[in-house]
Amino acid sequence: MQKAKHISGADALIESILAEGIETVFGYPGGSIIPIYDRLYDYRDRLNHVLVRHEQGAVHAAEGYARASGKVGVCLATSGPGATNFVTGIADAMMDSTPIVCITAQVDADKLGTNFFQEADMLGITTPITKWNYQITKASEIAVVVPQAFHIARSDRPGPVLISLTKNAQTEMCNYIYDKEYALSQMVQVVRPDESAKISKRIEKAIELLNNAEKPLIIAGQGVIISGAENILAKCANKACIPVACTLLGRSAMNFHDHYYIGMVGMHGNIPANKMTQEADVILAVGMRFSDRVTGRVSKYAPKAKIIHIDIDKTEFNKNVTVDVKIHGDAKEVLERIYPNLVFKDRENWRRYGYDQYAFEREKVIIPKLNSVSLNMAQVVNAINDHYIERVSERKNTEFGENVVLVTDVGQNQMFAARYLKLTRKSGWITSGGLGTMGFGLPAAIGAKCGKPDAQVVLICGDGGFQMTMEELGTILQAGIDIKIVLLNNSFLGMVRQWQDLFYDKRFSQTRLVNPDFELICKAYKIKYRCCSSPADIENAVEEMAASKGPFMLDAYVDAESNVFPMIPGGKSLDDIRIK
Amino acid sequence: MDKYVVDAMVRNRLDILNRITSLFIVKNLPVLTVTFTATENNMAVINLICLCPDEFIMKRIMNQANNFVDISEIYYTKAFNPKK
Repeated sequence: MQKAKHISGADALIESILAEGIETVFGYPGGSIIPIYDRLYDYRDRLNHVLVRHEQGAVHAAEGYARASGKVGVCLATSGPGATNFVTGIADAMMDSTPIVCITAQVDADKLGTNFFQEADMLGITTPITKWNYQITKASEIAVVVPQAFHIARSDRPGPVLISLTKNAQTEMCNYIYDKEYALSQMVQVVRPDESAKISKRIEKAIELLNNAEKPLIIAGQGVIISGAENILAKCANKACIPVACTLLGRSAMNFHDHYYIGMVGMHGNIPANKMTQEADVILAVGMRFSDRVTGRVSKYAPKAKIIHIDIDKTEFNKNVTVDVKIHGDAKEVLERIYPNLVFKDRENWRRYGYDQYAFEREKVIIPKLNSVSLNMAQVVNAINDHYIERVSERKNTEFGENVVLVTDVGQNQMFAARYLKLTRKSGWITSGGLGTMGFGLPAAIGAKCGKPDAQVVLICGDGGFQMTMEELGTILQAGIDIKIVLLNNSFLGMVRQWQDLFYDKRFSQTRLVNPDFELICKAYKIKYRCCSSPADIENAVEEMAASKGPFMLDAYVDAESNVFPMIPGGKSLDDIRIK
Repeated sequence: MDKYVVDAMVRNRLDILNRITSLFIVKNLPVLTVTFTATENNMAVINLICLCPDEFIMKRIMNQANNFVDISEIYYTKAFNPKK
């Protein structure tokens, strides 16, 4: 039996984080959290702390770390303003099912509720946007609550957990034993009826529907990536000849060059993916939640299809779209049960329909974009495929896309990246989907590099989003983080400008940006810089980025009037897809 | 709107009433009464009466509540309405 250590609450917290296998935490010190930072000084050799420049950066970095490494991301902040700066990132992690544990300090337990200096009720503020939160007021609670927090963050549908730790709990001494089994036994024992027989029947029904379908379609979401079901998904698709579309967050669930991959669904998705959704007779939705960005007008979504929905989260069933077969479970486990019973059926005509749609999209949208005389985002992203990912893969002698993590910000840059990047199952793909948090990209890329140090991390961002968290360039400088930043600079808030262009009579209200000199900013932060403004120059610029060591910014002056198409206008059906 | 009675067995933690009632508040459903009874094993029983226009919404809330870490068991029944 383990012997109890008599240590302070701050020590107990750090020991618990280390016991969970975490090597890097992101944070920013302040008054109430000084006891933890004081003890952190003695753990420098075991726990790497990345000092960010704003607490929002710490949460996004923890998200990037979690999604790149598969571990739980951890971030620290002081009470009051430090803790409230976490809010956007926590909401982002909640929407995108990212496992993070946010540790915020709190004033002494006996001062709670007195409007003490830097006091904010973090439990009240974060209740709707966390999977779980807890306020620790005694050091003795740490050994029980912290393992529970990590377990909750990573189990079932992952999500953010917040621990608010009062200052007295950090300084008090306690008898500490890390006993995860005991800690988890203290959690509420949930009464759940045994549904295994029901699920087996539903899986049989799903197999029957899929085997009899003439026009089946699989839509893969981020759940596929979280459960590691990419391989079994590809096997299912290839065995039964079923085309696969991906959601924005599930973009790397299927290899772009797979015979059955038909593109991304949703507002700016590919034409075949959206058209086939409307034509399909059976849809197998795996680990996705039928977001409004995916469905368009719900009443006209997939009118001919029987929908089978596999999800780890029961609350997603029938939330947005009414489904015919609900299978509650882990995507990988369910697909592994479906796979042996799938039968081959010749669905070449159905796949051919998708190819024809893709040929149409290529002719009307993709080729004109790539051949444009003025530099646009599609050309930059395409150059990253051919002259960055390709070069890195050659240099490391790996498969295309392996060991590359692609991070995007939010807006047009994200949509161009999602549409044009050639992602494989081995590529990392990190973006803010549900909450659509501008400013997510730069700190998330920093976190991704810390979570996967061997990988090449490329951030694709716009000038608007970049300037929201630009202070994190200081983190890159101080921690020596090697990421490549591709700034798609159009001096506009591009996506809002696009909506103003298409739906608000070209009244470009407050979307024009007057930007600083990014070259000087890079110089100040000792980041290599290269700008590019013509299609003829972009390949060379990306080659230079691929060859460079250390952080690098490629500032691409792209066409300000370029819009992302195809597009399904908000509230319209997938049939109303626009190509101009 | 119909009346529903919700019964829940929960962990007796500091903000549990807030957590349960916020499930209804975010969906703009009025909560008429709440009773809270602590048990001896650090659990608590909450009985709540709310108004809801559609049973489907109640089912959704139950689904959502079932995902809450601190809820052990929760179910609802439709209250008898003598006027109907």
